[in-house]
Amino acid sequence: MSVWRGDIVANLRTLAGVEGKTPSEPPIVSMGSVNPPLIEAPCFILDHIISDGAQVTRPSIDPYREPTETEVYLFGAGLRLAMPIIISGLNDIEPKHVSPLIHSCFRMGVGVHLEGSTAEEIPVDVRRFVLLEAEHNTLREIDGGPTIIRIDDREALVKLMKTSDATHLSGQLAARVPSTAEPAFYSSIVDAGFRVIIVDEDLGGEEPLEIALSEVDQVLKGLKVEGTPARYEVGLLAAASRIRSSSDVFKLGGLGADACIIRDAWKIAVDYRSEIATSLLSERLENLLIGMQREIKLLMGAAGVSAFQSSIVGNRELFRSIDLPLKLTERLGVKPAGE
Amino acid sequence: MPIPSRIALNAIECVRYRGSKMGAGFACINLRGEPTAKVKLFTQSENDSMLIYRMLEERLPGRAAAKPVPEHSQDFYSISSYTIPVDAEYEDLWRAVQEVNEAIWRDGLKGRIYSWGRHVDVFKGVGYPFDVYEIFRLGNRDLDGDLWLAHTRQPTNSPGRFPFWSHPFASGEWAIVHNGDISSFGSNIELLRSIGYKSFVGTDSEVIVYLLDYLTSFQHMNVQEVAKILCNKFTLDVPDQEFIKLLYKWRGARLDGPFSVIAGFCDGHDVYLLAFADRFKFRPIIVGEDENYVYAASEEAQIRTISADARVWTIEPGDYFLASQKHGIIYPGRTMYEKYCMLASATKPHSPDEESIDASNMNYRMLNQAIHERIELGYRRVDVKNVRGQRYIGVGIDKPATLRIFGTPGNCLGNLNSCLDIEVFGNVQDDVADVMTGGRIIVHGDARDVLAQAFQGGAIYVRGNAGNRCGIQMREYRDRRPFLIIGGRVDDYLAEYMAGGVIAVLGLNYLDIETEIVGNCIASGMVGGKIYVRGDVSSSKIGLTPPRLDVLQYLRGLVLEGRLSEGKYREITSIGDLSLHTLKKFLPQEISKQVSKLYLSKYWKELVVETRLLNEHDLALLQPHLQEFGKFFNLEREVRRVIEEEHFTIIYPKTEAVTKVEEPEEG
Repeated sequence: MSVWRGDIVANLRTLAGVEGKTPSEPPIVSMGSVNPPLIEAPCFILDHIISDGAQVTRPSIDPYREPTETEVYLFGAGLRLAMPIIISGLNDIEPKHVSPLIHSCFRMGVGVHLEGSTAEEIPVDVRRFVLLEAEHNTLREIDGGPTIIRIDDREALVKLMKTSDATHLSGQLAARVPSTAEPAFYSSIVDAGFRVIIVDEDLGGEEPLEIALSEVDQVLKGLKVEGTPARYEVGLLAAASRIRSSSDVFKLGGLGADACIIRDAWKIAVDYRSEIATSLLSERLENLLIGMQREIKLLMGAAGVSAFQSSIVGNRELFRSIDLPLKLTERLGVKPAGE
Repeated sequence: MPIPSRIALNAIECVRYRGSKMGAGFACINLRGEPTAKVKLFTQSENDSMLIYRMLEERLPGRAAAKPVPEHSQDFYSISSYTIPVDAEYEDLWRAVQEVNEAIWRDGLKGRIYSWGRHVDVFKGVGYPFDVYEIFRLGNRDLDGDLWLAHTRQPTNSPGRFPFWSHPFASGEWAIVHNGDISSFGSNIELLRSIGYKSFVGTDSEVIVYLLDYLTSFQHMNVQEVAKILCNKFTLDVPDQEFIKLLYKWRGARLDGPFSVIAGFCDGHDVYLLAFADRFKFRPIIVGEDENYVYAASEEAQIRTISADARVWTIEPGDYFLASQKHGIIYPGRTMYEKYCMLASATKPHSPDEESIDASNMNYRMLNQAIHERIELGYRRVDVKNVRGQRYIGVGIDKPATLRIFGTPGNCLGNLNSCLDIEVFGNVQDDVADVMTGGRIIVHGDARDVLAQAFQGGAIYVRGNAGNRCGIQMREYRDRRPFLIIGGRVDDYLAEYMAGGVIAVLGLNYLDIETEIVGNCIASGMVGGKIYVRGDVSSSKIGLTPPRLDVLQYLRGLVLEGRLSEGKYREITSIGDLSLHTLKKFLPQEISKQVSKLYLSKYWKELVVETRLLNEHDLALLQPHLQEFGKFFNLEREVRRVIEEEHFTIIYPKTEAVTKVEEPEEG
């Protein structure tokens, strides 16, 4: 069974303006759903998680008429994203398209994850929004903005610390790690001075993203940084090629992600092919991002929530699970439906 | 002057109908506290209370000064309250309470420590406020307080059978009462767990008092700072970076979803009254002051029970009110509240007939019955005096008549009114004139939230201000067109989803100063009708505008690509009001068209906004009603000035002219 179900792809392309007549416009629907796990077959744990929704004493919010805040802050409020989305997967597209697409993300206030580029290629202003991944594993910041260092396990971290001089770090360091939930590993990462952790299922790891993310969120809440719980000082991002939609972003938010790194979904949405004109790709990406932001707002509104980062992130109470083993629901901290 | 418990009882019994028998309570706060903390607990038996006593002893050796003493004889469904005096440092006591409460529930005991202050004393149980008052024998105790809180409960998300879930909730020297259902609950509880809170009864109200106590007692933040974080106010301006950082760090303490909270606090030096409401103002809250006291309540009628002449006003959406015993009002919860109160507190020239119905000691059914009977008997004018919070007045009457109300009518006045003229000498509360189709409502004072919802015929004149969500879903049909005229100002969401009719907001209490007389998001989702607001209205207050930072970010991107000049960008950053309307004035067409996608959607169309003097068409539409308004309230001079000299911001939908201007009728 495919991860990219027909209706998911159709919706992404409609938002991007590849199909349909009204780009960026999520369809307005009413009660009922054809979604997994009850109608369509579930692919992931995410498909077993549903939004509990607003009710009479906690009314829904209409995001077309009333404010709903999708902005999220990272690095101690040093970086503001307009929505909980970071675009990745730019390193394997045609080089001529890369810079214009980064600019599109910049305009939309969306972060970019970039591997294997150097800071010189990126304008200074834009650099603040680009999480630049160091080519070599050294604990060194790349000038001008957030720097990602990939860390595969605890040994790698220990080695990294030994070979590096960590005295000049400014607090803009992110660690990209496999989908694992080992508490000691994360404790060392926080101690090393990383202020964002990216749990990336594409790097492997023994746990599904949902479980690792949710447990890391809890681990960070149990650690302290300068007397306050580490989770409130350290940003947490979820990454996987299989993050498909705003609803995945919304649910991963509930499990603890401040934002999600989108790797494949945007390419499917804009119908990426190298021969398409750059300006068209840019326009489609912007359409998509506006559309996804609107979808996130609609989901927030349906849950009676008006602020993403303070009210959705880690708020397991707003979600319920269907047909998940009890043990998994306990690890996720999400109650079974009906409770 | 100390306040006797009886006053708190009277004020809460005034809104008995808002609650149920499933929980009520009181909290008394005194600057002159006890020498030791009063640890108060609910248990099922004396044995269990001894068990809890020993658990405390174990954690605080030698600190529990005496064995538990039962506080009342009658129980709440087999649960009784006991008190243990404990002499310990606050942090040690706090930790012991967390651990003991966790152990009690883990061991399956029906019990809980619910209060542990030196200045705060809580009395709560199962029943109506009067029942709980009697069971704790508060009337016989000679209990005076510097501050009293009282609550009656209508449980929605947690059971009401046991007293654990009753309000007030207390933590240390804080006690709160709460109305609402916060959607951020899960996030808030995650923060509390991570900072060491171990045991929860599971309601959002408890979470709020823990946050207040933690941030003031352990983080040593001042009350105003804490209130700002919890209230989570929407703001059109970009807050300063320090405040953003504070909000970010304590994001787990920000509250979302519906709430109104009234809290009492003693820091050992002063006693504070804090009241706050959510950013959408989904729940009512009103505050007031007279010579001796300050007040906060869900309904004005409660304040009037205690003080007939108090000056009252509402808190702005997402804002807070703070007053203390020593410093009086520290922050009023509304800018220029004195001016705000000016119109409503003007003299009321009329007095009731000798034949009038006396509503004192009548519940709302009795009162409405009495009004109906008189109108059935053929009275064409009925006066009612001493009205205090009775709901539904004037509902269900189908014979034209004049109903004059002296006092403070309760919620839902004149709902579905089709033919009555209702004149109120006083303020009105929430939900006035829902789905009104005809007749008139004349208010010689303020109106509160959700005035004239789905209003579709007749006229409503309010001398003073109106609250949040006025005139939402107003509509018109053929010759049936509703007119809503507000003499003062209004808060957010005026005319949301408006589909027809006419609204005028005059701001007569602000004629001498430059200020905007409407809140945010006015005319959001408007599809028909016409709105007149005296003076200028920032176009970013009309409808919904995207966050300022998002718009600037987009434009900055265009600068980097060389499509917009640095100078133009800098010019735009200095403009306070970044609506599409404004951008169109400053940007080349091609650019403003591109940026417009942040503003417009299939479901959100631009409105027409004009700022000018009233012209002959406007006057044809408005003048008869404005003149009638002026006559009723003895404000003819002011109205004339407004008509002749003042600019109005006029708002209506672009698509079609739903409001046709007709010639005024002859005679």
